[in-house]
Amino acid sequence: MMFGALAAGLPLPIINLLAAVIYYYVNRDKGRFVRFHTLQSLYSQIPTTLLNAGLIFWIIRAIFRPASMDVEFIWEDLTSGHFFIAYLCLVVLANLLYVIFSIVAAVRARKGRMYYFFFFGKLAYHQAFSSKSVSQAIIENKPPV
Amino acid sequence: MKSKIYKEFVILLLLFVGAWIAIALLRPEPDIPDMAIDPDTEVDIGDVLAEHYIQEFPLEDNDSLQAVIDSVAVRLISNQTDPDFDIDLHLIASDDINAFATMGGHIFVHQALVEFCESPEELAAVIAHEMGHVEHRHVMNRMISELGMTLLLSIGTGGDPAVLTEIARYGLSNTFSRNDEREADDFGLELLEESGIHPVNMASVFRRMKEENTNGLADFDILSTHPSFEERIRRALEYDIQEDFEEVPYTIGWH
Repeated sequence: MMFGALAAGLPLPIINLLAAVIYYYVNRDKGRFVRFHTLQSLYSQIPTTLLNAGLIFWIIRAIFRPASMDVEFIWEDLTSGHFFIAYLCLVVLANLLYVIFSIVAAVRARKGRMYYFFFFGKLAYHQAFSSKSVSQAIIENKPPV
Repeated sequence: MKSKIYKEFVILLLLFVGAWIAIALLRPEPDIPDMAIDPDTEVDIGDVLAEHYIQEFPLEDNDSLQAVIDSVAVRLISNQTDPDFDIDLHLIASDDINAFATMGGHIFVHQALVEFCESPEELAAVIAHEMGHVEHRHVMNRMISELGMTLLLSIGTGGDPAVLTEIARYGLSNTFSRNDEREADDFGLELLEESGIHPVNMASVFRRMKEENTNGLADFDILSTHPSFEERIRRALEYDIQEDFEEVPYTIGWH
């Protein structure tokens, strides 16, 4: 799901987030273990999506500045800004970290072990294990009305 | 549990911001290629190129006009601090409103540019900008990075005339980077201030050039090197003048 979501999100960063949201809602009733991992994936997807969106916005703004449509000057405009280059490096790093940790989490989860991301793991655990899931709710057998 | 979540969120945020600032500020600067050719060698190369340009562009045979631009420039030259190059101004008979700097201190000013300027202060602003390109060795840096040192050194030692022609054309056809233009503008603004010329004159002449350019009335090479001249005009207008600045107008009769 992670690779599919990432690939879908490349042109438009929001798509991979939507994919993660859909995947969570489809799988959240398959037990706390699955719920936790899908939620963790979703939460960790959010900042990555925001960073990617910020990058695309920054590039589009540089392209559509009224001063120039010349590619050479656009690239120079971008690369002459140290903060843009630093942001670009961080975005690449964030996406790489997301992919790496998602693979590690997938391998561990396949073995039935929980794997916690920094911050997102605790957040997802708190969400997944503090509320009653549908499968663990008290089922009342009431006759049809 | 909740407090640990908040704590880790803050740590993550600080890590991101810290990494962003660290990478931005600690990015290594690229090697400066002009250290490879000393100023004296650049002067030799510049002299050869200047002779070529003088053959290619007819010099304006107008002693009084040449005297005017020399007298405008002499104030700027005398207020430079430890310049690497002696400035040599050449007046070109041309209808193009343009000025360009080459290597070794040579600056070529088109006659039409002199006529376009409404005051000697505006002309001084243009010359000060070009002097910025000279002092920061922008032309040399660009040539080295794009053509290589060997080719340039061959000019100074009497190379193939065909190669010289092509290199000379290359020097005219290519553009400066935004950083180079900004450096030249900053140098020019400081030099104007040091010379008792209000830096707003740079904004004034650039603005009028931009208006003429927008109306399609002229093709200003001096500005077409980079399209963001609105930013350059704004920077010139926002230049912070020292409190003890005293404007000393030129006493040259203009037009």
